Amino acid sequence: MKISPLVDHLIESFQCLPGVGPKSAQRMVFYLLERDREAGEILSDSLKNALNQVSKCNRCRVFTESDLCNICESSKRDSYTLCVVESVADVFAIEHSNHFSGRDFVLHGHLSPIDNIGPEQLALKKLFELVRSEQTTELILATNSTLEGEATSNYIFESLKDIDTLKITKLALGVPLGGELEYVDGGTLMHALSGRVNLKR
Amino acid sequence: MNKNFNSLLAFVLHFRAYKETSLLVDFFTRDLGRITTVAKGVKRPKSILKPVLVPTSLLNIDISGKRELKTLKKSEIVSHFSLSSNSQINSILYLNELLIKFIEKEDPHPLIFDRYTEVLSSLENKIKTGEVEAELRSFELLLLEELGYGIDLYLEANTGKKIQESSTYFFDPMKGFLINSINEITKKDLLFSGQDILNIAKGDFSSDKTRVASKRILRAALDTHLGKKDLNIRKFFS
Ligand SMILES: [Zn+2]
Repeated sequence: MKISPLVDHLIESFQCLPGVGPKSAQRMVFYLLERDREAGEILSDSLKNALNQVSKCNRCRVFTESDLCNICESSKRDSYTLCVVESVADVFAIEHSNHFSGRDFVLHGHLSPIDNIGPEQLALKKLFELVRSEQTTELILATNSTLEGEATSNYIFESLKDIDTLKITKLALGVPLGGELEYVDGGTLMHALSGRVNLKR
Repeated sequence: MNKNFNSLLAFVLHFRAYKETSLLVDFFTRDLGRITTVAKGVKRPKSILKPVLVPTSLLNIDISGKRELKTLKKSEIVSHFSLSSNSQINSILYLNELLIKFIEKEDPHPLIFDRYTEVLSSLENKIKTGEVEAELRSFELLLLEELGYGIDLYLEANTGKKIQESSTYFFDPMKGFLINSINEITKKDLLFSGQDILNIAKGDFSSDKTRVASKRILRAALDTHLGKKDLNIRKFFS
């Protein structure tokens, strides 16, 4: 049902978000108009500001409104360890583990011939320059374990393997913590088996 | 009414994100050919559809739906091929792009499917460039054959005479191998020895020279039949 051009347009606009269909868009719009116009103002202001000002960090390509993001600015981070990930969400996931003190590089995608995404779209040249100019000592390849993610890691590895001072590592794949073996899918189990560790070491 | 298809043998050719936790998955199935399905909620931790995320696996899938976009109901791994080296992964990406660009949706080609399965399985133990190339070339030959673009590797195209080891032939992707063609002078890169052509016919790719020849012949043929479509992978990894 159409109500008014402005309301209809707003409902339509909300549907650009992933997982938001007509029903939930309608609920969100009615909520803001009916109950919380102040929150609506804040939402619209911060959306506008972010869209106007946020771009990518000059160094790691994470979203930021400054030249450098907080991680790259911080003097507490180990600047010789660099972790390559596919998305900004992956940076958040790794930060959340509280177990990584190096810096990141976001590809914003992976090599995918079918989608016509090549080395250029992923700013790989920038990554290669960064590794050289910062004298990175360890590069962690943390792309997704999909065919395209693997191809991306392989490509980066092949391009940088000749730097003697650079160690290149990959995330281990295996049984999830707390995972019961019988419920682990075959592919994961296969990887876990081939990556098994020697206990007598 | 919805149509159900159960126990289809399938490989994932490609997937992309769809809504928050779902994926649009392009499958190559043995019985239905290339189909697109939505794998609802597959990114949720306990989804039963998870096996579609395991690369290079032969799957057994159940789907439903009568329109072009089907729904994935179930997926199980039948066998997993352990492929991780550069040449292995790039070969699969290449084959997948070939299938997506050459095969129309819902046009079944069980022979191509079986050959694809064989290539994956033999790539598992093959890491030498020459061996990998031989696998790819013989796959391309079968693909063209199955799609009606087969290359006659035994007979000269104009005269129908047997190809002779000691003669030289010009390859015209639309016609085949020609002896004494006027193009011989201008397009030297499409000239091939009868010996190489017959080696390819026999599936003998052991000589470097034959492999180089087979690559050129098939590239010319594939490009011609692809028309305006490009194989992007050639731009990225060459
Ligand atoms: Zn940064």
